[in-house]
Order: sequence, then structure tokens, then C-alpha cells
Amino acid sequence: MSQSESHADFEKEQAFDRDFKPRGAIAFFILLILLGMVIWYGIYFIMLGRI
Amino acid sequence: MSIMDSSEKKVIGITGAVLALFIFSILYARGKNNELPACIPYDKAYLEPKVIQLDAKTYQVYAVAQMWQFQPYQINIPAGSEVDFFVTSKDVVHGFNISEKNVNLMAIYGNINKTTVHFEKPGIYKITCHEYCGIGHQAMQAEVIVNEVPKK
Amino acid sequence: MQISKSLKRLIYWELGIPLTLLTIGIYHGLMQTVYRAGVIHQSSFAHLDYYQGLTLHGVINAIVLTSFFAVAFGHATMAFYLKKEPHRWVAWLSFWLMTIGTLLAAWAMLSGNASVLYTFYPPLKAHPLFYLGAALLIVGSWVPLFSWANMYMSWKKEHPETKTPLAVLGTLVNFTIWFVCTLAVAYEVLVLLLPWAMGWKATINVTLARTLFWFFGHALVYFWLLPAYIMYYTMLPKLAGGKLFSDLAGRISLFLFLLLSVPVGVHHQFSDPSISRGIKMFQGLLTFGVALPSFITAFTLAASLEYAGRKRGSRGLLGFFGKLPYLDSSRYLFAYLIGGLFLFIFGGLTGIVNASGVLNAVVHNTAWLPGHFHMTVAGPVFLSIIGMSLFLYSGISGKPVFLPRINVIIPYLWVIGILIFSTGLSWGGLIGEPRRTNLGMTYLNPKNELFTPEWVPTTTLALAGGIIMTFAALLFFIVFFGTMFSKKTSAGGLDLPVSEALHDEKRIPLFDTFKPWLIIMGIIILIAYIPAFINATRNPGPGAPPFSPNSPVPEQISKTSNPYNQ
Repeated sequence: MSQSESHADFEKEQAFDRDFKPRGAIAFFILLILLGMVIWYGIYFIMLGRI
Repeated sequence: MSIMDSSEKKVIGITGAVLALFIFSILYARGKNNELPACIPYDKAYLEPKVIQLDAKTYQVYAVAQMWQFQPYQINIPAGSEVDFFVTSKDVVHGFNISEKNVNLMAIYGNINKTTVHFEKPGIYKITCHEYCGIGHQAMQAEVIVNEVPKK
Repeated sequence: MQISKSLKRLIYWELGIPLTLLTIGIYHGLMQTVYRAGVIHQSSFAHLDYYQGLTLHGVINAIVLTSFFAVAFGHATMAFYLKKEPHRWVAWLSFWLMTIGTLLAAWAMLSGNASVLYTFYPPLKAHPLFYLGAALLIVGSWVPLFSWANMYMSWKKEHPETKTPLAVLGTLVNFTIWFVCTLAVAYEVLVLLLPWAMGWKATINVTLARTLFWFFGHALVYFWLLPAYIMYYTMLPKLAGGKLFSDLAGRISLFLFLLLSVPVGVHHQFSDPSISRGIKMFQGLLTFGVALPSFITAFTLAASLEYAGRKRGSRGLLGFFGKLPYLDSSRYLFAYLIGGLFLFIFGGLTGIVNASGVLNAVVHNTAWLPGHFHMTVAGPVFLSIIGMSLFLYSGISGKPVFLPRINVIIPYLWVIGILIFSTGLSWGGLIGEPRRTNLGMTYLNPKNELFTPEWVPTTTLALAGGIIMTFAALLFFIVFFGTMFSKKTSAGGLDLPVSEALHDEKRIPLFDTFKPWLIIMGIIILIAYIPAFINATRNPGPGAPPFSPNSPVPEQISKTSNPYNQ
């Protein structure tokens, strides 16, 4: 690999790292929280029904 | 602050908000009279199993767990009653679980546990021991029989 | 990294002994699903009775395997990152204490003298050697911390401005939590239980014993989890082909665990008498707090995996999940770690239900509980233990993994098994199915008056899941022992995957020092637990005499302990 090619790859990686925003991870996290609420409120309403 | 901190901060915020929501929900339920078991000072009077009727709709049950039965074994209650269960053990740790009614207590030697239940619907409610208590543990079950009140 | 013959042999033994005992532990896991589904209606099978087997299952899988592994993995991470070895005699002393303790406890359990389950609640009494064995195992696992602390302090002198490697921080935090929490159970075992079991003391305060146990018991699960967290932060991103999104998030999480792992134990006692509602609610609140570092971790790992996936060209918001090396047998450790993470989603979320005060009445001591904890201790903890054991052994010994293509699917098979198993248990728990019970004798015996047909589908699901899990475990044993008996193909050495951080973070002294965190940890523990211990000593009435699981007659009847004589 020539000097200029490897330098370009390095620049690309730097740009990728700099521009990386974890949007997918936020989406996953929101889904995780929603699942948690479904499970929690599921048990909660079972509990209310048994009072 | 770099972006990494900002999305992590959002995460902490969302988590905190949801946990706060749960806390408020729990407090609401406590308000509806569904409390954690109450602390009762020890008294050996509670070691005598009995059903006490205080008035038409109010009962007290001294429930004693032992290897491997509950006493009283069958408790008859009219529908619509409120029952205070006072629970203790004559020997090892036992469980005291009426699964259809949020009654879930540990019966412990030298300690008195208490909860209050409202039985609206008639039926047979099983009291199950759910804490390992020796070789007879799997046969340890009693009943609360809630009887329909005859209409006048 | 080249390591000494002594350290190699130590690690081999510390991995090999628990994995060998695990065969018994797995066998009894399967057997329980068989008994509980009513396939058999007997109190024992093949000379082991149900509750004896349950004790073996809990002690081997949840105490022996996890403690030995934590120590071995601790030696490996400390040596690898600090480039020093633990003091030889300290490391071997720890090994012998743990091994002798395990042998004593194993004898007591296998001879039928300790069918008290891994929680050993009094007034059920086990043979004194069971308690002594447990104490030795625990004390033995403390010992390496002192050598590691020493290694760390001399490393710090040599590198005053370098960030402590995250794995080193994790190991030290983990064993600090362990040392603090085990003080309570060591006191319970050596001061309360052993003299009482030997007949020197007539009675025991059961509530106090339970409170001491759970001071230990909840922090125990973090002792199990933190080695897996170390792998998630420091190895998973590299294995996925990416970078760790935030090294700082890892440090913050570790310090939050240090603060909050211990002062939450009373949430296991929500149903107990004599502990005040105030303390139960307060520790329940703290338990919500300790959920926070896990949520931070979930996000950070998702972000790290997203980086890896997008680097490989994934598209869309969640497409990155599709571009990860799930079936790459040359990086099988990824499979073990991701399988555990997937299960932990459900394990962690159900844990939050358990921590929620009034919801406890719905789930406490029902089958929901083992449903929950098989998605945590038998999820990320178990998979990371067996995956890393294989990885360490194979790497250090220079022997290639036996049947690599089978090896990489083991975690997924296990995950499927657990999902089916835990669905059965969780569902059963919500309809009243008790845990810790030989259902086959009565509740799942159609000829018995206590037969409960509602629990047939739930226990059948658990059986199906249990069979799949056992099959996965069997494959693992074949792979592990097959690797052990293979021929060396390389020189071997200690080598761990090391993830690079995405952003080059400077060393922040607050998150690189122990003192302030240890002080806060101590203060929170005092605030949370002094009231609980006051409750546990002042509120209960008389103490209890010892009982064997086999008889309602106490083992020593003395005037002071017989309630009929009061």
C-alpha cells in the first residue's frame, strides 16, 4: 500500500469515528425501556387485580 | 462536552424518568391499601392457631406454619370479609402464599408477620408453602374457603 | 504474554475443578425439570434425593463455579494488564483453601448431610463441615485480592499518569465488593451457624441470620456479573470488529456498582417479618439505583456494536445487529458474550420487577424467581464463564479448540433452551407455582389430591428448555475436555482481546482512584444496614433450635427453646 493510500484510509477512519453518532443504539435503548415498561406494568396490573 | 457524554446523559435521564414513574406507581398502589407485610412484636399467643371473628365482615386468623402443615387447615370466611393474617412458624422457615390475593409472607420462628386481605369473590383459595422446609415441603397446602353470603 | 508454569497450572486447576463439578450441577438441573414436570413421582432418583440435588445444583453452579472462575479470571486480567504475576504462595494458598472448602462441602452434600439449599436458612441445620467448607471457600477467594492490591499499587508507582486499565479496575472493584459483602456471611457462618450446628449454642436468631445472608446474597450476584461486564467492555467491541464507545461509561458503571451492590440486600426480605417497611422501601429505592449502571452498559455496548456493524457496511437504524460475527468460529468468544447479553435483557428487566416493593407479593418464591435468575446467572454469567474458561485454557495451553464449528453454536442452543425454560417458569410463577418444591410428588401427580393441572404446561415447557440446555452443556463438556486432551499446536501464552476506545479519553483522576468511592460506599452501607440490623436483633422473639430436614422434632430440645415451655 502506498503512503498516500494508507494515509487516505487513516483519514477515512478518522472521519468515520468523528461522524459516528449512535442513533441505532438510542433506538435500541428506547425499545429496551419500552419492553421494560411492558413487563413491569404487566405485573403491576396483575397485582392491582389481586388486591 | 463531547457527543459521547451527551447521548450517555440522555440514557441516564430516560432511565431515571422511567424508574421515577415506577416509584410513583408503587406509591399509588400502596395508597390503594396494598402494603408490604407489617412488623408485629412477638407474642407467643400467636402460636395458637385460631380464627377470630371481630364482626360480620372482619376476621383475624392466627396462622401457624409447621413441618409440614398449616393450622388452621381450612378457614371459612363469608364473601366480602376483610381478614388479618398473623403468621408465624413453630419450626423452620415456611412460605405462606395465597397467589390469587397478593398474600406472600415468610413464616419465621420467633417472629410474627401480618397482612390484611379483602376477600370479595367466593371460592377456594389455596395457601401454599413456597419455601423449602424439609422432606414434606411439597405437601404443605391449606385452604381459605370464601363462602357466598346468602341473599336476603 | 508468557506466564510462569506455576501460574499456568494454577489457572488450569482453578478452571478445571469447577467445570468438572459442573457436570453434577448440570445433571441436577435437568433432574429438577424432570421431577417438577411430574415425569417421575418420587422423592429421589439414582440415590440422590430432590432437595439434596437442588442443594448440589445451587452450590456448585452458583457458588463454586462462579468463585473459582472469578479468582482465575482475576489472576489472568491482573497479570495480563499489569505485566506482573500474583505472589506465588498467596495464589496457591487461595487455591488450597477454596479446594479443601469445596471438598468438605461436597462431602456434606453428597452424603445427604446438607440438604439445606445454597441459602442454608436456619433453623434448618446442616452438618458442621458444610458450614466450615463454605467458610473456607469464601475466605480462600479473598486471599488473592491482597496480592492484586499490592501489584496494583506498585504498578501505580511506576505509571502515575496512566489510566488504570478498565479490566484491572473491574477486578479490584469486584473483589472489594466481594470482600465487604462476605464479611457478613462469614460472620453468619462462623459466629451464628457453626456453634449452633455443633450444639454449643441452643438457639439462633433466624431473622438476623437471614439479614446477614442477604447482605452477602445480593452483592453476590454482582460478584458473578462483573467479570462478564469486564469482558463486555474490554473484549466484546474488539471481537465484534469495532471500538468501545465510551471507556468512561465503564468506569462510572463500575464505581456505581461499588457504591450500590451491597446496601440493597433487604429486597430479598420484602416478605420477611420484623424488618421495618421503611428500610424495605429505602433499600428498594437503592436497588433502582443499582439498575442504572446496567442501563448505561446496555447503551454503551449497543453503541459499540453499532460502530462495528456500521463499519462493516450496515444500513438503517438497527441494521448493525445483522452485521456482527455471530457464527465466526475463530472468534467464538463473541458468540458466548452476545448470547449472554441477549438473555440479560430479560433477566435484568424482570429483576426490576422483583425490586419493586409491592410487586414482590406477585412473584416472591414462586417459579418466577428461578425464571428470572436463569436469565442472569445462567445467562450472561454462565456463558461468559464457560466461554472464557475455554478461551483461557486453549490460549494458555497452546491447544486448539476441539470441534470449533460445534463450539460456536453452543451459546445459541443454550439461549434457546433458557428462553423456553424461563418462559415456563415465569408463566408458572404468575399462576402460583412454587419454587424449591418437588412438584412431581404432589402438585404434578394426577393421583394426588393436591394435583394442580394448571401447572402442567408450565412445567412441561421448563422440561423442554431444560433438555435443550443440558444438550448444549453436554456439547460444551465435549468441546472443553476434548480440547484438554488435544495436542499442543503452539507455544501458548496468556492473551486477551483488548478493545480500543472510540474517543481518546484523558485520565480523569476522580474515576481512577478508590478512596472517595470507598468512603461513600461505607457511608451508604451504614445508613442502609444499621437500621436493618437493629430491626433484626431487637424485633424478633426467641431464637430457634436446630431442625433436620427430615423431622419436625428439633434436634436438641432444651427448656429455653421449646415454645411450649414458655
